[in-house]
Amino acid sequence: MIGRARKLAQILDTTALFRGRLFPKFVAVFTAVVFVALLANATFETLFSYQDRKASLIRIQQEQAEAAAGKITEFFKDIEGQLRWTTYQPWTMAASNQQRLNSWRLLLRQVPAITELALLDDAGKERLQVSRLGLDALDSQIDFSTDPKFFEAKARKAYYGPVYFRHDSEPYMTLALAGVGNASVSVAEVNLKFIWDFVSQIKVGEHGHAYVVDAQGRLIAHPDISLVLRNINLSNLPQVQAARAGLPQSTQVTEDEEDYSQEVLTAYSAIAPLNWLMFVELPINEAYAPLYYLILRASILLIVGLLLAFLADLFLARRIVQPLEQLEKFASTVRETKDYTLRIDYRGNDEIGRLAVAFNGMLSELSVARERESSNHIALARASRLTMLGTLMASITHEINQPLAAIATNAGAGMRFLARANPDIHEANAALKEIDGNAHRASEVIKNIRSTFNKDTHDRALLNINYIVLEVLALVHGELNKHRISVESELLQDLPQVRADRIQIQQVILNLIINAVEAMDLVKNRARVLRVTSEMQEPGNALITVQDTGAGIDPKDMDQIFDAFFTTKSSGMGMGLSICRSIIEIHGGQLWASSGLGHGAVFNIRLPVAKAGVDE
Amino acid sequence: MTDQSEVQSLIFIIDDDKSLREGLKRLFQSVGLQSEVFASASEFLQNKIPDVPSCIVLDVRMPGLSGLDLQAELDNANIHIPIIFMTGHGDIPMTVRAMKAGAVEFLAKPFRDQEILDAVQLGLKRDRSRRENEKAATKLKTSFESLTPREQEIMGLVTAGLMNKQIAGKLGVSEITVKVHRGSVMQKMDARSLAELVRMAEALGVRSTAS
Repeated sequence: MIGRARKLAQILDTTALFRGRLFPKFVAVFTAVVFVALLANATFETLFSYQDRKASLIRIQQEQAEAAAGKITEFFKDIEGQLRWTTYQPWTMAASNQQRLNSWRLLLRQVPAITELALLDDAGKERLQVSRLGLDALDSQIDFSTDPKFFEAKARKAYYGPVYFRHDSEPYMTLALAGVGNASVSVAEVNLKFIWDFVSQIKVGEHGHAYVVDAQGRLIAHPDISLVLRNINLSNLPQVQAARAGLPQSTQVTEDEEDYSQEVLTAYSAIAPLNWLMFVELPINEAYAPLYYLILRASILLIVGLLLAFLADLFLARRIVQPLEQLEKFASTVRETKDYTLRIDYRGNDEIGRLAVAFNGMLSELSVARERESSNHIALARASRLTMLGTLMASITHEINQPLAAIATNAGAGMRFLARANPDIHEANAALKEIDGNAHRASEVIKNIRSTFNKDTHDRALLNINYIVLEVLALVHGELNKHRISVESELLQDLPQVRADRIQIQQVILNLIINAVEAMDLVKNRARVLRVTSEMQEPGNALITVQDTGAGIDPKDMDQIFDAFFTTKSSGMGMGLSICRSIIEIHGGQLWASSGLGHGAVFNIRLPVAKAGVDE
Repeated sequence: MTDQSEVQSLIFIIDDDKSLREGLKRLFQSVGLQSEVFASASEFLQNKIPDVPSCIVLDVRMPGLSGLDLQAELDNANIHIPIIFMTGHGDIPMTVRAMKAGAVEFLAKPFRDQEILDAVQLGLKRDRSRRENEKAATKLKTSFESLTPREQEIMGLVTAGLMNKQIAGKLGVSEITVKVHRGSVMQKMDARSLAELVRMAEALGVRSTAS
């Protein structure tokens, strides 16, 4: 568990990875792709759900509105039907009127919605009136001939009066029906409370409601009776305008009410005989609540999906980028250490694995080439050293041989003058003088050469011997590998600098190392180790040693190895160590050999270090 | 005449090193050899070479014209005085080049006095015989040129191995005339026998091919 947590933490620890540029690019691109896919999915799903939802809601509301409208129509039809037969008989002053009164009372009892019932004769005079509330009146003779309920009914057989309120609380309406021919007109006062109750009962969702407006747009039924009582005209409402204009039967509108506005989904249906309109409304908020839920759910899914994609990308990118970084680090290591024998340890058949294999192959070729180059280098260094030596020797030889030849010649001449039967002392003397002069001349030549050698200090600079040792070791790296010689170096880190000629000191160290390599060439039964050390020996002196595990130096040769022309090698000139010693000596140091511990020889170089603060 | 006998031979020493050339002059003087010294090859070339047996002791390495250059120069000028080279340090290719071009000896400095004396003696001896050969050839040529055209013709035919009779037939003269001419040739050429005459004709290149 802890291990897993740590692993996760490792995957999430991407601060290091984000430093490179590939990794964030990779993660960003893949996360973006997943994001777009998820977003498109959620958007389309929401859009389609929205349309489905809207269509089905509209359909339900439409059905509700139509059903309610039908019920109201039926209500009126019913009342109309009940009223109709009262008109069949024209008003006559007959005894049967009492009977008629009785039957009308029965009608009132049967139809609770009718509160009052009146009969107007052909001339518009009230002949009969029954009421639930007041006294019944018979032949009151009140003239209603100018009342619209009379002439409208007469003209159109039916009259639907405007809605009015009794006691400011109950909606009423006058319904008048005219009989055929000279028949009377029956006038009923219909209590619309029933419609109001019915409208109030229509439930649309949680906050949806139904309402009815009349032909003029006045609100006549609404669950909130106070709105109705205020006698509001709703003809300005967009849905009402739309309905009156006969536009499609459902819309989504913004309803501006007194203190708030809300978007509602509305459907309507016409109530046929009355030109009323039945509206069913549902606030958008509620209508689309499931949609909001859907959107929320989609968003959560989107976020979760994104998170998962991001984590997956991190993981994948790590899998790809980390080996690449490993490769990069490895390449840097090779570049810095110049160790071309290093190999990448990366297993895998993937592209990176193949890259690693290619990289290793390249390194192999590089190390072979490097080795070849470095042995060429050694050969070149040796050859140029010999050429330089040869030129120097030739020049010295000529300079010396010239006076020597003069000496030999004059000596011969002198001896011959003296050996004569009659010795020519004068000539012999002249010859001797010449000999003397030329001997001095020869010694002068030698002196000049030495002083030239000694004087040549302008190439000297402050040097760190350790660097020179490392340079030379790098130079002979290939040679050492070829002879299977391992190197141990123990260099004092803060070795003070020495003032010396870089090339000359390099030559000395190179010479000693090549001698060591050649000395170990015959070693078969023990390890071939080249050991190079540097240390401070005593105040003011640096000591550099070059040790090998070769055959060592024969004690009887120990005194001669630094002599010119002394060599134990079949191909040597015997100048190397002699010149090395001269170089070290003109630098104010010493070069000597000693026997190593166990096997091999040790060559020691002691060089005075430069005094601090003295520079040129 | 005494002058002539004193200058029996002459050695030319050419070396840019004064003490060596003076030393060599002294050495040669100690054994009774006359010599002249020159500091450079060009100085030597400006000098008139006397007509006595001589040889040159020459340093290879000199400023200006080198020893080997001088050798080539003399060869071109048809001057065949033997040369002894000296060098401070000689390498093999240089030695081979000098010896091929006819050098008597190639001595590395410093050399023993006897070595250079021997070399000089050898050089002078060679020059002497060269000069004698040259002198004999000159004498032969002079004698041959003293013959009349007819005598020269007869000498060619005689040395080609023809008999008097044959020569007479070939030239359309009598045998007696051939005999007279032949005697005159023998006398003028200072030949003691026919064999000697043949050798002379050979050296002169006038021997007719037998036909």
